[in-house]
Amino acid sequence: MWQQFLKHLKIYALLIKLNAMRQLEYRVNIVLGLLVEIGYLGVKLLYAYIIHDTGVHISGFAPQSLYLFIGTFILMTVFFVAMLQFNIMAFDRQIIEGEFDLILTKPVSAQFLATLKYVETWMVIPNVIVGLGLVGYGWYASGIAFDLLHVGLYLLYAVLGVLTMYCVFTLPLLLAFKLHNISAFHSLIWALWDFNNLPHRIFPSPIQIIGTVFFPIFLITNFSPLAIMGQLSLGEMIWGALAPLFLFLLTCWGWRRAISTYESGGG
Amino acid sequence: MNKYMWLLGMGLQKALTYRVNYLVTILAAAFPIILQWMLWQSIYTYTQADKLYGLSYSDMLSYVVLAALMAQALRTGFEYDMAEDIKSGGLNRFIVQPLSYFGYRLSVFVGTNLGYFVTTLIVMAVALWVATTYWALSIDVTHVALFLLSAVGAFFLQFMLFYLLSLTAFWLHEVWALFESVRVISLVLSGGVVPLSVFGTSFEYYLSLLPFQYLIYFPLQTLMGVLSTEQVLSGLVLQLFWTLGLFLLSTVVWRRGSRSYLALGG
Repeated sequence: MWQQFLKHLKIYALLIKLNAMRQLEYRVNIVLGLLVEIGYLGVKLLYAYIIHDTGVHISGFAPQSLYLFIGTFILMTVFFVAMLQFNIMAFDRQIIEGEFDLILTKPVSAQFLATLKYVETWMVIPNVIVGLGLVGYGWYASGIAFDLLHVGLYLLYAVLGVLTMYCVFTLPLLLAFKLHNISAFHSLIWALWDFNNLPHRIFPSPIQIIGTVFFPIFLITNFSPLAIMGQLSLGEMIWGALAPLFLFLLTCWGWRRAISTYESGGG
Repeated sequence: MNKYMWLLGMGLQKALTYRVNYLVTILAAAFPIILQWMLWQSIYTYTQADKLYGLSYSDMLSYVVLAALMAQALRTGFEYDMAEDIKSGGLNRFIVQPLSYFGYRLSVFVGTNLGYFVTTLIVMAVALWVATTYWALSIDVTHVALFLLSAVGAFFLQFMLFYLLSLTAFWLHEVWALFESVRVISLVLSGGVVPLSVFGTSFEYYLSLLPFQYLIYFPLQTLMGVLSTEQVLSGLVLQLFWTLGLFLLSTVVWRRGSRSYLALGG
């Protein structure tokens, strides 16, 4: 199990390198891609601007704490765009056109290759810079200690958030094995992702419960800032650690079920 | 004229084929609305202000909901088809056929989007009913009529904006990033995310010199009765001016682009 994990980690590192080199071939595309990301970043920062301008406290959080949330959301967007976005967009096409057959013949996990093979590297740079800046400022202005415990806690829930993100957005893709064309769900996925732009405690309790327990999208960006702010209850901390693992097992199980119904579609 | 009406009908048929797609898109529009609703509710509750950025809480809420829907009503997508036509030689058939490419694109756009546009306006009417009943938004019938006029103007202005943008495919190999960046910039500058008054008076003034505000901000201000009749009429004239201006500009760009067209493929 551990060896398999390390093997896939090495392959993923190679995929990052290969994708980065491939993308460098078309440098104008990189510049234009950066433009797109800066545009979306601007929309995300609009919320930060409004919060700064009005000085609003949301659910007891002062604006500087809210920057921590928005910064974490922007940093998580790095993983979303780099790891998932283009794989999500291409997923149903590889099933419709039979490209998936080729993936099945590779000596690595088909799930790994089909859901993670495209890595966007250069386009996410503005998000990295702005995200780190906002998290750094929010961290400092909120008076949170910058020690091993807090940094470790933040990173732990961030890693678990990335795992949750992978599962939450991979599970709906499995519908492609049944419905084939799932392009309509893409806009739904992007909209769901933007739900994390502000702390989940801004929403009414039923939405918070649904988004934390049943469709745990709020675990992705909320738990790492909440953990370092000491705002997570013990129950939430345990749930935040276990839910991603359950979800991952569920995703792998769902994948095995879905793949058993796969019929080669292309030539 | 008949051939363009036929193309319009074809576009409408195509749009109806993917009606579930449209319903999911409208559903997706609900998420940013909920997010903004919660944000503005928190802001108005915290600040206890009667008005922020010139709008009361009910006005802001109505604006956010209607703007998100209006943005959906103005969706495009034909720019990718145009870029493909230019890149892969799809324009060739228009050289030999008695069909104007502009007329073809406009007819297909109207046909494909008319259903979306009207359905979204109906959803907006429901949202408006909610706003007037529960959020105490006052709406005049004259404002609704003027809004419909400005919404139709916005529909054609949006077409012209993206038609002109698509012509860059004559010179650029990869255009998706340009399309997407303009789309997101246009969404913000047209007031599709937040009212332009949020950006401050001076920035709002500079934005008024651009065509974007006539897509969403101006029609919604008309609907909400923020503008006087004179302001609405002059706004409609400016909207028409921008549409015609972009049309003329696109004619010039088309001519120049045609010269560099290689007629590859097909």
